[in-house]
Amino acid sequence: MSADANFQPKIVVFACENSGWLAAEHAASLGLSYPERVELIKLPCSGKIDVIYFMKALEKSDGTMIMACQQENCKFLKGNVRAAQRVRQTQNLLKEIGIEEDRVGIFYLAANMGHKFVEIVQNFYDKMRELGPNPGKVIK
Amino acid sequence: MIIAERKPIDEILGFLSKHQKVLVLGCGGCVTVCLAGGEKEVGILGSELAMARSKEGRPLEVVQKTIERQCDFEYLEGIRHIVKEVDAILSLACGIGIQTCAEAFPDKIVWPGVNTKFLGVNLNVGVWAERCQACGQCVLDKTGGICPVARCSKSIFNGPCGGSQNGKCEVDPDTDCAWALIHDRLARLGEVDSLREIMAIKDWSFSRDGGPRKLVREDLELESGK
Amino acid sequence: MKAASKLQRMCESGNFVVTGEIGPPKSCNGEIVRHHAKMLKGWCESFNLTDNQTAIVRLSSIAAGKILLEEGLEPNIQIVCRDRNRIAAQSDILGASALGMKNVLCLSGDHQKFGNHPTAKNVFDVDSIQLIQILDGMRKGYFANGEQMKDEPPQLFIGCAANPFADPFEFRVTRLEKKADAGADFCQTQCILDMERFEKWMELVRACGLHKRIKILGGITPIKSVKAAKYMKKFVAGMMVSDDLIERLEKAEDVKAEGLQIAIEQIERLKKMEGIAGVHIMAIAWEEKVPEICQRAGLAPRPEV
Repeated sequence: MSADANFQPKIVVFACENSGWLAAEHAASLGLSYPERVELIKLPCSGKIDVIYFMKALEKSDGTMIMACQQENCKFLKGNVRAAQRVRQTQNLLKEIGIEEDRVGIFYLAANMGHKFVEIVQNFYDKMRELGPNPGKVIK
Repeated sequence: MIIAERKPIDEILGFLSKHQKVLVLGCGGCVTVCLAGGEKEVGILGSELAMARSKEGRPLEVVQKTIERQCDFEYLEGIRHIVKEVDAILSLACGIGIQTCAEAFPDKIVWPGVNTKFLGVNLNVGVWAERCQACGQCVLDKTGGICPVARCSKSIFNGPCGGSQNGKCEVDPDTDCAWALIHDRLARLGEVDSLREIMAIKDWSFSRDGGPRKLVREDLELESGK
Repeated sequence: MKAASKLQRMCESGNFVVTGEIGPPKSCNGEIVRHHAKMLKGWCESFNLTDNQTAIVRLSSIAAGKILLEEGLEPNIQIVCRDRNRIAAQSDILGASALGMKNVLCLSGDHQKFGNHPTAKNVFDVDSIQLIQILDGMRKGYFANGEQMKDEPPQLFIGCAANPFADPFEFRVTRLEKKADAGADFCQTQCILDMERFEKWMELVRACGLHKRIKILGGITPIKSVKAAKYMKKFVAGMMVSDDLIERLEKAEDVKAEGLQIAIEQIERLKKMEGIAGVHIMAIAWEEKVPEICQRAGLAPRPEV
């Protein structure tokens, strides 16, 4: 699917407050910029993410992700493992209805990785541009 | 507990293809516990259906509601006003709830959103296994608490058959031979000698074989209307 | 009172008993049964006619039994609990008896998952032991519900299966005891491919005097290939194949000849084993070898009883 020059994907980023959220703040303190239309939602741990949140996000956006602490570093031990499982569950549902699985993902980083934060968001944004608008968006 | 599993999405979309507004109705009973039709599953399925129909270019309006349980008419009364406003109901309750729903709202199509699979136990997260066949005459007193009707593939009463090997059933290497389990349990309880007696032929008329069953507790019935 | 079946008379005579087996075809071609009957006539007292074995639809046991009677052979019909409820089973017995059949084996039956109609409902109204009880009641003049039969009751010689190679080992003898309690007259064991295990089982059998209550026929199957032996070891539930046997076949120059030799040696051993009343020869897909086996094992000619 070729990217429409005017298409600006809407992305919902669920960020664990121990990793992704702090990395976003770090990025801001460094004056780094990333695409508009990126909504950031803070979670106390990546393990709080649930399939229903991803689904609700995708009803109104083109892609969504959870940012989690790196393997073995989850403050609540298994939160990031659960988060990864829920991403897979969501991907299965999307696959069922013919929507690209890449529209949901999990990305790992630490609190002091402002650059990494921007890199992840930018890459995901570019990927969504490539995929085009989410055909499953529910217009109310 | 009654174990159910959501039907394949294509089947559900097929049911709903003619409708524009549906009620996805969850149940707070068994299907919530087995993660097939509770409030969360209603939300997820509702979202999935809306997205699938959006993709087709034929939007679907989804009303979501979960009630205490669908096998008691009282709880269904509470949503009568919602039902009036939709084209059809997609019930995620077990077969009992779906039927009660259909009986409560005879002028509204009620689609089954799940396949009701069996009566079983929760062994682990995401793992359930059959335990009871509701045969109407429990014999668990004679078999050390292990059911030969539900857990033996041949519902044998004087088992095991010749296909039992290493404690497993010939039908599936993951299925325990119920009679191996019964033998070992009774041995553990010091009761294995009871297996020397031939267990009598079952009266299947107490089971579903005798026709759809009904239980009336006269001591509980109220005089004035039900 | 009609004459007892040849099998019954042979069992009661104390002679070493020999039964064989014919698997009906997956078609309505009775000539196939007739062909096997002609080939095997005279080599055994009577012949098992399997009942939808492995849950694959085949010409029915009783119908095949009739063909055998026409050819002058004696049938052992089989009834599996998987396919018939008590009503059908009793009805079939009345019919079989009317056609002249007397030997009936009561079996559980392989689960339909193994067969060619895995989506069928399985019956299992009664289990094999309860079926034996029903047949015992019938020959005494009563239906399963206690109702008295009109006319002369069917004359039946009731058989069952025993599997010394299934688990739990300690319980297998108890289960055969229950079958004897229920009224079984004879039993045929699962084919012996692990003689050591079989002898252990026979020790337990003799210890409780079971061999005196029920006639035990050891099951013998000649193995045609190493592949067949290995397949049975790995994939067939309730079967045990000793490593010795596989090794012997692997080392043999002519595997088929070795397979036959092993079967003959096993029969010789059974002839000398205390508590064994005879042998049940199941030459699966190798029925033409039965005459040779019987001759070389000294079982021919069959004595008159």
